[in-house]
Amino acid sequence: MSHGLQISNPSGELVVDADAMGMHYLGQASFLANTTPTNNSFVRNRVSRRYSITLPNTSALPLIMLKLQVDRWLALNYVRRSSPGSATWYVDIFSADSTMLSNSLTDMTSTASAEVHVFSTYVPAGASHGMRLYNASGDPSWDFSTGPLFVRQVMQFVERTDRTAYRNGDTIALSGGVSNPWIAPGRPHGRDNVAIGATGSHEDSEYVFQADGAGGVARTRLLTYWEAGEVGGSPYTPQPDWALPAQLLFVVDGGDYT
Amino acid sequence: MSDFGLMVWNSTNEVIFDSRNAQGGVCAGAVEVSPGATTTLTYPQYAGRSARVLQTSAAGNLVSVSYTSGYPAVTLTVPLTYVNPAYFVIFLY
Repeated sequence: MSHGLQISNPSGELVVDADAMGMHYLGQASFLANTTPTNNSFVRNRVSRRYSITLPNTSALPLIMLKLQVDRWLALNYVRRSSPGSATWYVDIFSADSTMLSNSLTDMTSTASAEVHVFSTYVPAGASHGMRLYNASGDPSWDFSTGPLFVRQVMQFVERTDRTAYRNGDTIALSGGVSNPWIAPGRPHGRDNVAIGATGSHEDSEYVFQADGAGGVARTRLLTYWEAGEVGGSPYTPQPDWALPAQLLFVVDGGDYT
Repeated sequence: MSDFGLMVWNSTNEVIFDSRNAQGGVCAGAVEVSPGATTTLTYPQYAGRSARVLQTSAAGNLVSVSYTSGYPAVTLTVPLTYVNPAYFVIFLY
């Protein structure tokens, strides 16, 4: 086994590895249009915002980051190629301000603007100076002159089963030095991606994030028919347990890239 | 805080990478998994390391990580009932 270069942080976690895939900042995805999800008789219909980005080639893979702001509740619906084999990717997000959020018992037909930032495994040509790493195949894997991914914090939102205590969600503090947080949220709601009535369509219903204005990242869940006690037809079985799911978030500082 | 590491500055003298403050691990790849499919990715060259998976589309517990072979093995399963492929980004640390 050969390694060109490996660097670990003080906790012993790998943070640089010439044989891994370095990620580099590419730019913002462009807003395409609001896209109407497939309606569902048990959960309110909510419009999402579709963004697109064309990567430099079809083998490059994206990592999507959402810029956090106060009063802008965000979630990632899904990331996928616009068509099989295409270098153009679609990113569908949920984005609402507090006014929209407070109306979450009704169908949401509008969205709030947002910034979708894209990193990718593509290694840019780079500047004429700096450090560039190559993997064992001789292909470039990292270039430190062109916005290498610098994850400042890994947030692990834990599962919350106490519906009363966590009715309004939960919060994790940002580590020092991150003034312009962008997040890559894992395990989001994905209702649009699931057939109506399918397993997974409700228990992860809709979890959204915002900057809480006090140095933290706040998570909450949108209301649904179920929570309101409304009757949306025959009850879906099994009924969701209202837990907030475990969710993994990566945080970068947008100031490192813009 | 370690006194050892790699720091990178941009042309305006701002630190854009500092291995002492970096977290998350290194990206080992990303994969789209179609509805009804299961994909297992193994990383024998990373024996003793751990994996984090960012499941960036689709809800539900679609990820399992095993270390029984001494290295990370990531299994991604997307139910047939899902409409679109799910997308995962894998980090090793």
